Amino acid sequence: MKKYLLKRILLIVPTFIGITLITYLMVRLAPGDYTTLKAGLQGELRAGSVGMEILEQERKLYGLDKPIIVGYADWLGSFMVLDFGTSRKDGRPVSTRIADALPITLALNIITIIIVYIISIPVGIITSVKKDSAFDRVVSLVMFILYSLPAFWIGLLLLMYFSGGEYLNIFPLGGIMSDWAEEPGFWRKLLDIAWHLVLPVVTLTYGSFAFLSRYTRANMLEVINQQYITTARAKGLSEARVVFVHAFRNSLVPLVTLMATLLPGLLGGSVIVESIFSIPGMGMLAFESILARDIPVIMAIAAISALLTLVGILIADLMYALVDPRIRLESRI
Amino acid sequence: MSTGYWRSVIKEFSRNRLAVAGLVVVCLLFLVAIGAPLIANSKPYIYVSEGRVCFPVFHMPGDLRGKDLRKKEFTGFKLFPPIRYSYSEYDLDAIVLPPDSRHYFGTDEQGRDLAARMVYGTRVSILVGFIAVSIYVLIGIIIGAVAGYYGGIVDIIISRFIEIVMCFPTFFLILTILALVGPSLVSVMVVIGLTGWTSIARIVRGEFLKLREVDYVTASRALGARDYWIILRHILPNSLAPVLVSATFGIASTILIESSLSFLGFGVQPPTPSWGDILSQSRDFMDFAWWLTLIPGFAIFITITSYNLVGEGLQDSLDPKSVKKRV
Amino acid sequence: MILRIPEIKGVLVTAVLLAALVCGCARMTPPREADALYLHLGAEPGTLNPITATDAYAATINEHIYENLVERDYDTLEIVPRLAERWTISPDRLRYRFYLKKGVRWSDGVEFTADDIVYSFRALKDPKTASAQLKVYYIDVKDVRRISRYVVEFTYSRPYFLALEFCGGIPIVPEHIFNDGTDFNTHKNSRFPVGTGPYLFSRWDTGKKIVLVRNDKYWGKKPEIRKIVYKLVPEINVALQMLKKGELDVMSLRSIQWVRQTGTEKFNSNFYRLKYYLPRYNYIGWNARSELFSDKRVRRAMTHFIDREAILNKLLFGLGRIVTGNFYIESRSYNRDLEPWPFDPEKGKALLKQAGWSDTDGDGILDRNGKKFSFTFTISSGSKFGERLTSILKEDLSRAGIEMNINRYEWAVFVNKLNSRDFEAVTLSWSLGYGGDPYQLWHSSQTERGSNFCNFSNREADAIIEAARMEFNEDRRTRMYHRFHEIIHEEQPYTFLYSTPALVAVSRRFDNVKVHKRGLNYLEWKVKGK
Repeated sequence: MKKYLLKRILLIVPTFIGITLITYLMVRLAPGDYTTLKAGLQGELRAGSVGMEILEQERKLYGLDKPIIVGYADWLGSFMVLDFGTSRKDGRPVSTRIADALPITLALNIITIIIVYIISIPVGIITSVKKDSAFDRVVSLVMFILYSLPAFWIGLLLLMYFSGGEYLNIFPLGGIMSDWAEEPGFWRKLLDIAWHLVLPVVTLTYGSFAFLSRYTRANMLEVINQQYITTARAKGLSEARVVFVHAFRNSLVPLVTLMATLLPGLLGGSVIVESIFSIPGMGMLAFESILARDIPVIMAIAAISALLTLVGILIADLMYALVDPRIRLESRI
Repeated sequence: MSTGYWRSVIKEFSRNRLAVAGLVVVCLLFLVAIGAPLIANSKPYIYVSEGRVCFPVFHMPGDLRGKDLRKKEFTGFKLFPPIRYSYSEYDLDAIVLPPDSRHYFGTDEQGRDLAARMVYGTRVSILVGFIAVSIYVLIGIIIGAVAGYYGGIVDIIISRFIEIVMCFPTFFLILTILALVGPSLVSVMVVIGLTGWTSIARIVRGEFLKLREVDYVTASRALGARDYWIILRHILPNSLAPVLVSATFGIASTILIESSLSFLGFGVQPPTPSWGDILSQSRDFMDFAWWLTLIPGFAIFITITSYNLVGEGLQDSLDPKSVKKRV
Repeated sequence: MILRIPEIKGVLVTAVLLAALVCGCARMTPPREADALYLHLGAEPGTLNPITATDAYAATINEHIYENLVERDYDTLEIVPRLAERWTISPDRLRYRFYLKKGVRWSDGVEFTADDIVYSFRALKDPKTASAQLKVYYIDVKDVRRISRYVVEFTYSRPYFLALEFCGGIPIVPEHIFNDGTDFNTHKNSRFPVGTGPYLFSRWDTGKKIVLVRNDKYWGKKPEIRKIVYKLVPEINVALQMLKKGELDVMSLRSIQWVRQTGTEKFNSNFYRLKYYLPRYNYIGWNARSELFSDKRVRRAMTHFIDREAILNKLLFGLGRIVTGNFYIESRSYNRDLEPWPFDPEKGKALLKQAGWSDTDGDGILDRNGKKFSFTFTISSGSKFGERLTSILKEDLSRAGIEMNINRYEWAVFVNKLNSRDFEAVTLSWSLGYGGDPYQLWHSSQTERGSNFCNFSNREADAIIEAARMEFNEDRRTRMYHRFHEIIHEEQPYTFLYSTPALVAVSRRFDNVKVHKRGLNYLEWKVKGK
């Protein structure tokens, strides 16, 4: 077991280098670089601000004239000592920019996951128990439809109809917080943030109910048909005990391992939702940085996502193996 | 794989009414995509005047080139397609108008007929869906097959590689590659194809690992059959089922990705109409131009739903366990 | 005790009630502050350091915090004193001496002196400073010297008619803050500006807003409005909704918004709608290096094929004026005698025929020596105007027998293409200063590596530009520029399109909102009822 763990951890290193190197390569090779943004913003150029000397000088300043391998090595070296560099856009440390955007995305994702779990699991359990009933069929249909609705469309519609001044004016037009003259009390602030997050969270959650509820349902079904359930029933246990204590417990395992794979997703913001609701999260940060060729930020995000994904996979595999002795670790490489 | 198996699959599938409905919609979309120039065109199917007959939709005679045959001055017998506008013709007098008797779906920011653009948008969706998925199914099968069949060190290396690609947050990866090559219809298809193969590869690899040790494979080997023959004749057809299901769902998700990319401005280039692109342009007029938001969104929804229904239907009918259920 | 449907209903109802409660409570957000001005920010500035900032947003904000030695009068556009009380110019026009106002203090209390100017200039010219966009303007400034505590002198290497404007307009940062050994580019005060102006920087909530408060110790006339809040709203349609809801007070509108979404009586009773022209214009640039557009006749023909009137009326709802040349349309340098080339496809075809283009093979596309008249139009993906313009052009040109393809690139890639001259036709806009020196854009020395990316090169124009730079007599210089304008009109390196006005909606909560030649002056606005 220990040997396996060690082997897997060691294997993370080359994978990580592979991912970050490829990312760096792509961004360096991409046409245009940060210096071109000095010329002006979208569409309008300031007279005299486009010129080769200007850009070459800037390029040297940012180390973009060094060959790719050197550039990558520099970055890797800094990364090892946790120096993420400074963002090209505003000169602030990358860690600060990420620290600004991360809590927002984290909060959104955690709330989303909680809500999805709270709704999907009971639904999954119930539909597995009431298999093929009208309830099961209706729920399946609803879930299915929700799954097929494109998120950006729904987000737009929600924004338009529930917060625009033209129709219903229940929710704010975006952002995380309202403008406060003085710092409000803790609860007020929390309520305000919650109010702002309702629409984005709805947009993020509705599509995921389908998968998780079906997954739960499938696992429950598998377990319910097992012998020990029949035994439990024969022993005269109440239906509730049978379902919750025995069946559900045993189908928990895949659910928990599923959570491990959610780890990397936690830090990834949805560019689309953030764009529609003007939320300054990780998604917008990544998107803007790609457009601006802000290499330090892009690399930091890529590196962190990669690490988390790799760790997430490792944990998931470990849990799988731990929980189901039938699966041999070696074969899961 | 005997034809009996597939026949029972088809029978199973046709019993699932929703799946069949989905399939019907998919076929309809296909037809619309192929027949787009015949559905929405400013040129008539047939034009008879001064004793000669021509079919402007297919070929515009030299003297009429550049002329708008819809005008009253062109007398004679004219038969027009149901939507009398081409997808790129603009009319600056008719900017952002609601649906009416002339423009069935209204117009966009340049006075272009939305119905015509929706019809042509089908082409983009279908094209991207099929080609991207074909690309990644091919890649996935090859990679998965090689990894699964040979096992050992080959498998370890390839699995590492699969892991690397899976680790990239997909959207991020797509955006980065598109920044590298420049967004366009072709690059979007290729990029989605290059990033989506991992699940297929894993499925195929899994199947191969399982089936490697199955009896008839061992028997074939004992009989001296070559590797690739075994792969082609025995293993692949068995793995086809889950691949097919995954691919169908893949088309739905590809269409979603393409619309999202176009929505962000990173997809298809103007003036090629893409539903996602129309949606993104509708943002500015959200407060009054409901047709620009509702119609393309609904189209995307219906398309994705149909593919998902077909996928579900395939999954149910291909899964031996559920076949038993229905008996 | 399995959950039955009634139980589920119960849970759902509770959830809905909870949500309603949340909304209800949250609705008790405070009303916006009555005496604050809420302005719209379309994108976040990278930095508020006036020497390294490159975007217009930073410039807008810094305008209220930092001051320059001189400024342009809001109505006459003349150079008037600001931080400098007066100045003298040496007879050879090479030395500019500014006498600073005494007693002006930075917002942290330290006095403003000539040392700040000397430091700012050195920082700007320092090769390590990311100020390339400014360095270009100060190439001819040889030196800046402190003569005494309140007197500073700029020395030019060559006489230049805009010298006063440039020296007087140099961005000034506090030396005692920035000169502390840390890197200038990433100095922490880039995010916390300290200035001498009528407003003080208060806070910057990243991704949300930037707040300024009135400087009650300001040396000049204090503004009425106590607080300015710049709200970051990247989505322009969301910003419009916020404006209507009262969460924003001022917003720049697009022409279609002006016409279709803000034309109602209700809107007008709550908002002023103001229109004024800034020195900027948009155009189609033809790359004279490309095979097709190296011929002046072809460029002229293209201008004839484009129905500028119709596009202006339909696409921009008539909000704009067709321009024929490079100068600010309200300035004297603009040659009003020149009429724009009319929309005349027949004339265009005739010109092309002269240049050897005609449809010899009957396929509907013009050709010459076996090559078709087909070109690629390059636009940037964020430019709505570009997209619409090119869609229209493609149709129009195809009727004239010209095949046009559209290539859309992200902004970063697009600028790259401009720099490497890798394009045939582009559409862009230039935002000019009021000075009007065409050197950067039109002199042949700027074709390789400068802003003259369409490769315009004309000996007479070059001579005029060089001579005009040293011509201090305005009448003579105006005549020279009129001749220059004629040359450009003849050569059509660009098809000049329009000067579009700023279209601004302002809440009627404010009084004394006047439109000056320079635009709007927030400093004079008063809150109604106060």
